[in-house]
Amino acid sequence: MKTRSHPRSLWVAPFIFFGIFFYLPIGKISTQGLSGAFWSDLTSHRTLSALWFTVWQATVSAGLSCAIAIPLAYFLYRTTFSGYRTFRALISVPFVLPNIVVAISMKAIFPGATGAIYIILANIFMNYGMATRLIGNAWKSLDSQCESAAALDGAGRLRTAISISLPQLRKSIASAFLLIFVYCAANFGIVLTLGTPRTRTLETEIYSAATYDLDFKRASSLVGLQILLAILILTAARFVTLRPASDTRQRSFPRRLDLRDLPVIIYSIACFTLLFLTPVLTLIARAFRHNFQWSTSNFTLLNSTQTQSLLNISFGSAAFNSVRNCLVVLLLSLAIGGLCSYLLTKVRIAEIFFLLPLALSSVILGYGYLETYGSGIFPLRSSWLVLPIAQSLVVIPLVIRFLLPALTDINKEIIESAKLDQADQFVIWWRIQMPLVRRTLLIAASYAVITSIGDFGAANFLAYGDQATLPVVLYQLISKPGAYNYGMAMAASSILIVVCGAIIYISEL
Amino acid sequence: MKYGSKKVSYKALAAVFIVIALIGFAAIYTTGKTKPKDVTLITHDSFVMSKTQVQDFDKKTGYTLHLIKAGDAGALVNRLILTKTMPIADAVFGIDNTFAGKAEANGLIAGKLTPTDFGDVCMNYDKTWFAAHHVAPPTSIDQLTAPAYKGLTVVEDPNLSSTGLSFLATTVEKYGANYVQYWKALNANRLKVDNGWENAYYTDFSGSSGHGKYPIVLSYASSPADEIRSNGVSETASIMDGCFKQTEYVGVLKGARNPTAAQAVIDYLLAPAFQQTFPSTMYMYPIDMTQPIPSSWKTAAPLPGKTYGDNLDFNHDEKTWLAAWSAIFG
Repeated sequence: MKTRSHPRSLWVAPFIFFGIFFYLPIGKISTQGLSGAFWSDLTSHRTLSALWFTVWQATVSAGLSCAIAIPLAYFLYRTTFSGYRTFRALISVPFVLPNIVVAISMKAIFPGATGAIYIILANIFMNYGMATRLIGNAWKSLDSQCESAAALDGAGRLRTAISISLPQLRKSIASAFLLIFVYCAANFGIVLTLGTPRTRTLETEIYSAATYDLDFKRASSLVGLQILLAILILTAARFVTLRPASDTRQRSFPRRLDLRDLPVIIYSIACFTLLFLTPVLTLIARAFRHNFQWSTSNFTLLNSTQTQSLLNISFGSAAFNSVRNCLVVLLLSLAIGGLCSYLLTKVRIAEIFFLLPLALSSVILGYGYLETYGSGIFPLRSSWLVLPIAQSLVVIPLVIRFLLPALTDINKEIIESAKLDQADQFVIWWRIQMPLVRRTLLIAASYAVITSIGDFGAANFLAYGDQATLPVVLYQLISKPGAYNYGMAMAASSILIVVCGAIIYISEL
Repeated sequence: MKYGSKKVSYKALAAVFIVIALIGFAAIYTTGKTKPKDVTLITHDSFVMSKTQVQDFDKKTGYTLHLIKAGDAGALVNRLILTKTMPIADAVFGIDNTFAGKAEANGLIAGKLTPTDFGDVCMNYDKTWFAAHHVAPPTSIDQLTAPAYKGLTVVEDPNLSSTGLSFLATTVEKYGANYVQYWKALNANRLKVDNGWENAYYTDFSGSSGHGKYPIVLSYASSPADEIRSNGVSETASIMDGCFKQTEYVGVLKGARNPTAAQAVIDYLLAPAFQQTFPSTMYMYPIDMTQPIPSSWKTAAPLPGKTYGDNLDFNHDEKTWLAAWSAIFG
């Protein structure tokens, strides 16, 4: 059969978009560093200790998240009971919360929380649900014949899990670990809010070099270092990548819970209580405490710019900005991410070109835009569109990660027969591929929404004054002492938890 | 079935992309521009200008005033340096004498900075504590290294707090090269260092709401006016020798899109109606000394006679002082 080459001209659009809005600013700031004291900056004690802290806190957080997740994955994906879907959806909520809200949840339980231990706790709170989901999905699609055979031979469930299932899950656990590692290494809002002068990560170092010390050469050297680290992780991820379980594959059916599962039931309920209910309920309770009594004053205050007008705009206006930005991000990322995924199913080249922003932080983008588009004939920085564009670059790789496997999984025969019927590429995409991945598209869209709303790294650089977004306002509140600020931060965060929870619940069920 | 020619749909798609790109560029271009009657004043977080005052300004001048708060004075100056090629505001309020040198060295200001208000950074002490413990309260910062005052003082980290930096600068001007010795002696006398003014004053200081353990705190000459109890007497007082005079300025930003309007903002902040509000809203003295001062300030928060801070080059020397300080406390 004659196979048509894909339309090369279509590659132009994503390449130009990434070129102008990602590689140009990133290139500009990273070459600035090269011309300076690159090596002495990189080998300085400050840099090495920041690099060390970035790596170890992310390793410990990702390791613990995965370890906590394994029994939960068994409980939620290998057995069935009424309400398991709600359970699954609920523990996924922290993962989609804005970084800054996660940090504020820690401050709700421990008002003076600062230091490495709280950063790691916050990371675990945020990521164990995602780890559960990734490992669980792999476990669900594991061939259960071996397990049944072992059980028949008298192996207990724990022993079966350890000697039969876990070795088969090695790759999925490794890839879950790597993904969570990336998230924990890029947790700017958490480290900025819960950190001390000793807990510095590469991101906070870049931020403080650029905005406090105004040492742009050093900031740029650090950007170079982060790019190297990102490429390293992405390459590692490619080695262990397992393709997410597809719906077409044969899967074993989960069995009903029984008494022998009691330890895992107790464990799961304990995890859920400690890692989900406690932080969330404490936060909501604090939101309703004002002047040592129960009231809704914190919520009413959100309508204002705080009693001493600390804020530039009210919570409501910030919410408007966030939603407006989010719609632009959604439009851009689905259009460009969709196109990229489609093109990548044809030829898997330059994948890393589009995935790199995922491993880089939006802090770098914010800084890059400030440096590159701060003047001249193209007034990008003074337009409010600057922030949604920066955010969409972080979201597009996410969309690709979701869409590409789903598209690759589509049965080739359907497409071939459509081609025989003379359908052109565009029609095949619009009529066949798109409808088949609609659900994945919905999930990608909800992650786009959540990432855009939660972005703090780029927003902190680019959204000031009346353009402030929700995380920016939240950070202003929580970084200043005072009971009113604290109460307002709690109230605003609990609203965001409910909204994010609703989004994830709708897209999951 | 026939779905139409392949080539046509790619051309159509390419056309769509080009149109979208053009719309995008146009959108960025138009949203990046400001209206001619808009004027933006960027300030630090402690600046207070009520809605009524903003409306009053708009009505009197015909401009539309926007306010941006950009963190503390240090963050404010850095934000302006980062964006100086295309300033995000027309006028700036809140650069003080500790940052004026940096602002000038970076060419932020068109013309000169104009002083609007001032205040003094002074050590405060808890009068009740000293009476109860039968210890004479210190009258000069010289005494803080003496054994009688061991473990009694809390200050702010000069790396993190402008109040802390002001005090460090005071010691540099007062003691010259011996300032390092002074801080070593303070450290040996069990000085407590906090990361910010709120922590030091509201948590660790014994004379305020936190009822902490330290009866001497680095604060402001005006602070005792806020600690007047029901008997009409302040719980605290200032140590008059060793105060730093902090002056805040307003200026037009270089490259401002609307410099005329920026000047109108400056004139408004210097007019009597606005000057009068400095003590009650920002705890600073108006630069126009003919304006009335609250009576509680006159009794409880008198101004110190001699102050420090006018003969230092912060922009040039600050890093050296901070390095020397951090070597002792780091």
